[in-house]
Amino acid sequence: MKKEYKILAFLTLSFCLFITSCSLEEEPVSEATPDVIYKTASGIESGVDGTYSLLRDLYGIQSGFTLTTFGTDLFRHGKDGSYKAMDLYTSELNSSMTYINNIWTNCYLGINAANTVLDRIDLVEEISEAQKTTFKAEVRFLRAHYYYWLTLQFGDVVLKENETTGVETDGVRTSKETIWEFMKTDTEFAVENLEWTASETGRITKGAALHQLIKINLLMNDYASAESHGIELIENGPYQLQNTYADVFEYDNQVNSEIIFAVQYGTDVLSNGSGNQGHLYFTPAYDLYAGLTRDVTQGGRPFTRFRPTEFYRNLFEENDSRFDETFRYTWTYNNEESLPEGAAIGDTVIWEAEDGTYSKIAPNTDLMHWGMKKHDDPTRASFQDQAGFRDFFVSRLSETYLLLSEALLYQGKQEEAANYINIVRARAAKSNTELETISASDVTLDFILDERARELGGEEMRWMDLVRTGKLEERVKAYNPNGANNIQSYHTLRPIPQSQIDLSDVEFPQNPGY
Amino acid sequence: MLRLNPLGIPYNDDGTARFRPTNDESQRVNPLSDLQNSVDERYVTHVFASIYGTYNFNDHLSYRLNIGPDLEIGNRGYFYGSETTNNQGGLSTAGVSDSDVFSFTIENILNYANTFNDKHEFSATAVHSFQTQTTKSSYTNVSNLPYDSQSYNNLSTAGEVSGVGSNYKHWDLLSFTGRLNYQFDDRYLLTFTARADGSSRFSEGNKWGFFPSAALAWRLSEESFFNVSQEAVSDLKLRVSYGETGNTGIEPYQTFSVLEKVEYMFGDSGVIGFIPNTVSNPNLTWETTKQFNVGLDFEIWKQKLSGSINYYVAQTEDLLLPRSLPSSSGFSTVFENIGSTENKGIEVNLSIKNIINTDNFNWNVDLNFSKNTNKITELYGDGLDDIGNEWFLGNPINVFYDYKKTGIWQLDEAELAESYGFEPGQIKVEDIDNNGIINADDRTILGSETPDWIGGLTNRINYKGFGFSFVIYTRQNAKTYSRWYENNNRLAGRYNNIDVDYWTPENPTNANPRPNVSQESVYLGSTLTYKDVSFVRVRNIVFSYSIPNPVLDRLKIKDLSFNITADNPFTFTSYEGLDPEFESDGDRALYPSVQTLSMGLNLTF
Repeated sequence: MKKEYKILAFLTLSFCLFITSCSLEEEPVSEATPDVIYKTASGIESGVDGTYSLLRDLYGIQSGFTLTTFGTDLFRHGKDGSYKAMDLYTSELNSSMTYINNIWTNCYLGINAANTVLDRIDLVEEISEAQKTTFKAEVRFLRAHYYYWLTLQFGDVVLKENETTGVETDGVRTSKETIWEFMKTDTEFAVENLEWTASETGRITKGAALHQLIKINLLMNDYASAESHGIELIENGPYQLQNTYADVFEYDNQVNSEIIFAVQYGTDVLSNGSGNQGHLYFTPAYDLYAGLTRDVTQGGRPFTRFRPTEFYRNLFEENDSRFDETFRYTWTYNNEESLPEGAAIGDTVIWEAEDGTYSKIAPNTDLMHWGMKKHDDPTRASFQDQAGFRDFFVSRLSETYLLLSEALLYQGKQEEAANYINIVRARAAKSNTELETISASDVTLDFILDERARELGGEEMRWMDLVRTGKLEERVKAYNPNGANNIQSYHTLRPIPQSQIDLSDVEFPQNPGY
Repeated sequence: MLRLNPLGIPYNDDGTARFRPTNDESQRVNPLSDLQNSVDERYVTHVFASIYGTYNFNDHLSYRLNIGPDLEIGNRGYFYGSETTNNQGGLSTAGVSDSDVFSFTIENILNYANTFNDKHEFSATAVHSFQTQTTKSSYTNVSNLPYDSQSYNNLSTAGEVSGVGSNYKHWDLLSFTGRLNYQFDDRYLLTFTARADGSSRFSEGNKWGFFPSAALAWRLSEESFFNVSQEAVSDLKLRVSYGETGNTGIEPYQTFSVLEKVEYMFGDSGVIGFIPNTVSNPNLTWETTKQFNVGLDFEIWKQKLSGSINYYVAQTEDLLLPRSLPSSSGFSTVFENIGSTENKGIEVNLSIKNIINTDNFNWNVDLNFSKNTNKITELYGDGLDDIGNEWFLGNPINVFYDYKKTGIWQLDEAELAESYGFEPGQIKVEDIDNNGIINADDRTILGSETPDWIGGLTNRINYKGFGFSFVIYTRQNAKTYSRWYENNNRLAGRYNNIDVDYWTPENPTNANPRPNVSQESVYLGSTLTYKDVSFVRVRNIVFSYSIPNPVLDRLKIKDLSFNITADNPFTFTSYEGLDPEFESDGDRALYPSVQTLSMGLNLTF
């Protein structure tokens, strides 16, 4: 090649490289952006499903359990874990606690996810109006649900009605009464626009919405509405109590006629997220004792977080089947290596109490306390696995009866209230026995709270129930020896997470006392 | 490993590693089991093959093309058996991941140089450059492998696929630069540069930044009026420059709002959902640093002392920073151009040659010193601090903001302690606003990671064949948040703890609080972890001896020398952790520096 040609080729090459290199367009090929996803029907649906997924950050997770279980009349802290101050109500319960921030943050993630769907769904033409209404009803229910947690835990919070589209640092606190009104409208929309049965298990139904509406009505002291919604749900809904309390929690019976709404978990690992971890937290450190080792059928992995109080253990009558179905208080030897003399694998463990007496019933101390069977997850491949597969029951028909009785009580209709409570009690009796039928004069708020404890204990409701009924301080003082000396009236609200206050560029007042 | 209970039994009777050395199953597992049951291998293949071509149009004008393709292929494979820290006796896990990073640089450079009248040296350069990088990655994670011996080499046999994924990232950077150099008679040196950069990482309208700079150097020692003898001052040069530089160093796609994929299920069927994850910020643009420099280079006293002194003031505007947002917005952070910072500093380098110089003896010393102060000069234009992001006007950008520990609550202070919600034995912090309540308003700025100054000293002494040298390095008045202390000083009783002076009713110390068996970590424990990590370190010492040539000649050996080298032999510090230099605020403490003593023999025929 002649020299000139070489030069020409060289210059041509560099010119080509110059030309091809001038684009600075950025295309986020790998990223899912709202402008791509939320333009299609399936994208909107994935936005709806995403709003559901944040329920898993409330139910079946340690932060959710901690904020609803510690510092109540039913549970006190066990040996392990960082959040004992939430039980003790000491100064360490402050605005820097990570779990408080987690719950706050997760609720707002859910609210923004819901708002994003709501603000964009009408722009998508390929979805039928009917389907749009169903989607809207689902996310509005969920938005109200996240606000339920926020307003009960924190009081007045930021009310967000629309998608956040830019940097936003000026959220202010809106009174919780205003937000309850907003939640009520959302939930009523869901009641009016959803069917009794949904297209898939785990989606919001009319029943789930009614159940939530009753709770909101109770919050707003609108007892007549709570009553009529309760009666509608019980009489027109497709729900029925299971025959026995044991059936409700039977592992192979997770989808049953009593379940109105459950957060979904399952064995498909790729869709199970971090799973329902409820099996971990109530399990005591049984594995530290002779003849015992970790075992998925005996509580699994011991996190030793929540120990039932004496009050809770003594709430049950002799014929109440819920006692045995709730508590795990016996264990059987399963470890050949460390078996005590004279014991055999499979024998019931004999425990030595502090006073030197022996019993087959486990002691109830911080280290070795009673466990809970409700959250057992015995099909996990290994006792170490944290991700469980059990659905988390958010609302059950038996609770509807108890909510209804509460609404009736406040209206002076003790007689009717007693009838509904007795339905729940009748089912709870051990087979071929009966629990005492209660009469109108027995129906008090305290009795209903006790019945709720027997029926719903350990199901991530208690702290918020006690706040809702104004009974937290009184009952912790009476029944929780850890928190009794420290709890004050300001503890009925959690501290606003410090990061929220620090990052706001407007005044964001802390709750009093913190 | 430091947290392992020392009372554990490491081996079973048959000599195998005992997975749980204590009977507390939640205790740390045996590190020997980790070694035996895990594999984590990473391979990186890096191919860098630059080519270039030049063409000289004539003596003055030339053209050069640089093409720099760069391919980095990374593979990782890992396997963790059941008996490992990762899996705690549960199912085995394994996975593979791959990433390809392909970068490409093209530069077209046109250069013109000429000298006029022997004294005017002139050159001009025009550069067009284009950089691009594409990163592709993918991974597969599985669990429940039927046999451990496969490691990560037969993943399809696994009982469960626990995660798969792939990713793509791409960015481009286009630049045009023009530079003029003018030099007159070796006395005046002038440089002008103008540079325009376009970055794909910013959105339309914000992609381009213009960054000019100018530099002037004046060699005083060449001036005729400079009446100092060449012996006294052999070189004296004054430099002044002003320049702007740009930074686009953020991940691609930050201007878009991006959704996060989440999972959920209805009944038994899994679904994919999306939730908002990052909020879009279409306004992102270049971070610009405007730096003014003045410096002096000198060589004096028969060239015995040479060195440079440099002073700079740099104003950085529109800093590209992740800004935390209040969670109520539904977002946690956003990348923003935030405020301005100012860096001021001085750098001094001195080199002293032949302090004592005879035929057999010489001694050289190098000294360096630098001091930098950093402060935030502007944030959002409202004159207010951003407490949430820990940015405070007039303070460095990386301060520690927390409660200030003043001691431990003592028995005779029980009443006061109780009024604050504390009891004797707990950490006492200062009530900054003096309102009788300890809460978030009592946090204060405790210091910063940036040291006051750093310095180094190098000494080299030779006497006949003997050589002795050492290097000293120092960093003064730097603080860190020590993860090492945080992790190993929980005072809970369950795990091993570093040996600290802790409070008991009989030992009323103000150093560390009372241990508490029912805590996982110390309340206000972060206040224990701000540590001064100033130090003076002898980086290395070398003794050497070379056999003189006459001896070697007889042995027909070219060179024979011995040396003894000690790396990091001495460190002087008040810090009680492992290594003040490598203590970090990161998730884990960095690997401490290694002390070595080595001996060497060099033999050349």
